[in-house]
Amino acid sequence: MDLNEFYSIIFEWGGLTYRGVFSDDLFTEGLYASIGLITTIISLFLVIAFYFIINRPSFSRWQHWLIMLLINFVIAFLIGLIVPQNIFYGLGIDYDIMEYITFGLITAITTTAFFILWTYCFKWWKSHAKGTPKLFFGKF
Amino acid sequence: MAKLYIFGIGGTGARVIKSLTMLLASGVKTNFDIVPILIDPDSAGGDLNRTIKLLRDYQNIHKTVDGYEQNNFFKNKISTLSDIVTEQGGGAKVFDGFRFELDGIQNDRFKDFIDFNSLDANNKNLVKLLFSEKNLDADLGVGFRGNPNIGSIVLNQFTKSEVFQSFADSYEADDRIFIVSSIFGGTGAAGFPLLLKNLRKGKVGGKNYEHLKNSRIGAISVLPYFKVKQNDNSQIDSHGFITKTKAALHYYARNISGNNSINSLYYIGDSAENTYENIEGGTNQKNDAHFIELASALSIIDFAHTEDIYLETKNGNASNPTYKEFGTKAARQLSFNDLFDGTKNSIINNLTEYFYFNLFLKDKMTWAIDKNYPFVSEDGAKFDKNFIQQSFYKNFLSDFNKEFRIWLAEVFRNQISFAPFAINPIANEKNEITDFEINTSNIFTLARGIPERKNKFNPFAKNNYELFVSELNVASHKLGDAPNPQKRFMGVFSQGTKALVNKKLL
Repeated sequence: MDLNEFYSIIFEWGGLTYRGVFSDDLFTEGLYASIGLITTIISLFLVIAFYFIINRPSFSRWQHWLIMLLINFVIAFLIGLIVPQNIFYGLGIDYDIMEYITFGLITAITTTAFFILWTYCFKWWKSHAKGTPKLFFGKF
Repeated sequence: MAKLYIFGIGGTGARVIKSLTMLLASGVKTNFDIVPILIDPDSAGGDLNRTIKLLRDYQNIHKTVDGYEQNNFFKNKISTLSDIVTEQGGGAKVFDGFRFELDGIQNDRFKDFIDFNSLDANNKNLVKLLFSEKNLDADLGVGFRGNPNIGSIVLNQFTKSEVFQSFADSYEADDRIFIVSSIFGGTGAAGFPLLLKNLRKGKVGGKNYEHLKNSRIGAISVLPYFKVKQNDNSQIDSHGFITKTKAALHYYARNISGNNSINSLYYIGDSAENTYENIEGGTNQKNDAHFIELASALSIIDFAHTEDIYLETKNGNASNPTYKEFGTKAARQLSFNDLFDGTKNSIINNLTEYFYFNLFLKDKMTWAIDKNYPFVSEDGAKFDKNFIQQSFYKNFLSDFNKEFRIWLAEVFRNQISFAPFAINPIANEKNEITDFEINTSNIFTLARGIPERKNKFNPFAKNNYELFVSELNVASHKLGDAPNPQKRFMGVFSQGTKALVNKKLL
């Protein structure tokens, strides 16, 4: 399984958000791989920034974590909206703007999952935001 | 561990031991198990009872955190004589506390104590020569009110008591003795020479105690450092303080320094411009803590750190007696910088760390719990609202810390003023200090005369309580596992405040 295929499964949520020709074109142009990599790295960077770069008691509560998550959401939405639009425009392929907005939202939601995943990788490490947030039960 | 028995005689004795307790709480160490024995006939004395409550709180905190190397606060053990006797397997009846109770003085006049009425005519006349009518009618329940001639009679009881016997039995070769007394009052002026004489005899209850005879003994004699308001109805008159001091010094010259009976004798005093209310004794005798008492407590630390070689005693005589006085660079309002290096270095770190620890608990602990910072909830910590409701925090530590703040505010307000931190004492309608407050948002400007170390090249550098929390988080992470939450709590704050003070101030 190559990277494009891997990310296509993730961004199509196992087929749940498959959008026919639009999704096929994304796959054909290898956009799942590039958008997937970019959003993975951005969410990783934002999580690292929260826990280890900003890393200060005054910006360590769950509300602050939520701010980072929202930033992550907005950036991912813009990437999902703009990158395919530019590529397809260059190739002369035309889609309704709603297709791009929908994909932008899918990208944002998927990247939110990346952010949460990275959070649970790093929230246990030594930092002033250690343990933040507790989304589920106990220390989780 | 060797023991350092500290006899605190009279009100001054109690107040000096109180200052010593504050120093020990902040982490100053003596390398001895401290055994305070307070001798004061005034059982209701405000200062005495404040000191006893403080010592009990200290003990409770120490017992909880004892043996945890990461914690520096409350590290030095304080025991009662009863604890020592019990540890040594003895079953002698000793007082279960810090104060020795003098028998036969409650609601008794001095003339009843000496059984004046049963004396024959010649002896009555002799007694009348030595004691005035006022002396004979004096109520002993509130102390000797500046009359050492009464004190010397009544305090003889102590050296013949079961308590003194227990003390002699428990005394071991490596132990030391320190006597704190004032020279211008009644109890201390009488008690010190009497006690010293009996110690050097080495004979208690018909038994010989060579260790005791050749013990290493230090003492501080506090010269006048305050006056009391003139009151014709009171037996205490500060006009006589200097005369009494002179007379006592003459006596000491022959019977203490003159015969080499003491190893280290410390003298301290002040120009006594400070005027207290004229209270003869009882619950209302509560004077503000004074820097002289703190400096006197430092003499105990100095004595504890003096090497054995300088404290040799042979046949009840000190081989190399030393006499020390205390001085400061300034005269009226002192900061740490006004102390000479030896004094300054012995307390500056500890007191500053404890001050910030205290400040955080007073103003920010609930806030930190609400914010759920890592040091309260991660790495094995669980300092939540339940923790601060438990007796360790709520009854012992909070009470002790409040007394520490009152003590600090009192020495700040008093003359001379010891003002190492920029605080504002808060007083009630009776003008008694109840706490202090700070009037700055930058807590690192509070240490007077010590500039804040700023990181000029980092505009994002953490500051104030954010830096404080940051250091506590780091300390908490480094600490790893701790035997119990209380030990962890003290360890985190001990290490955290140390790092904080080192980074920003010292």
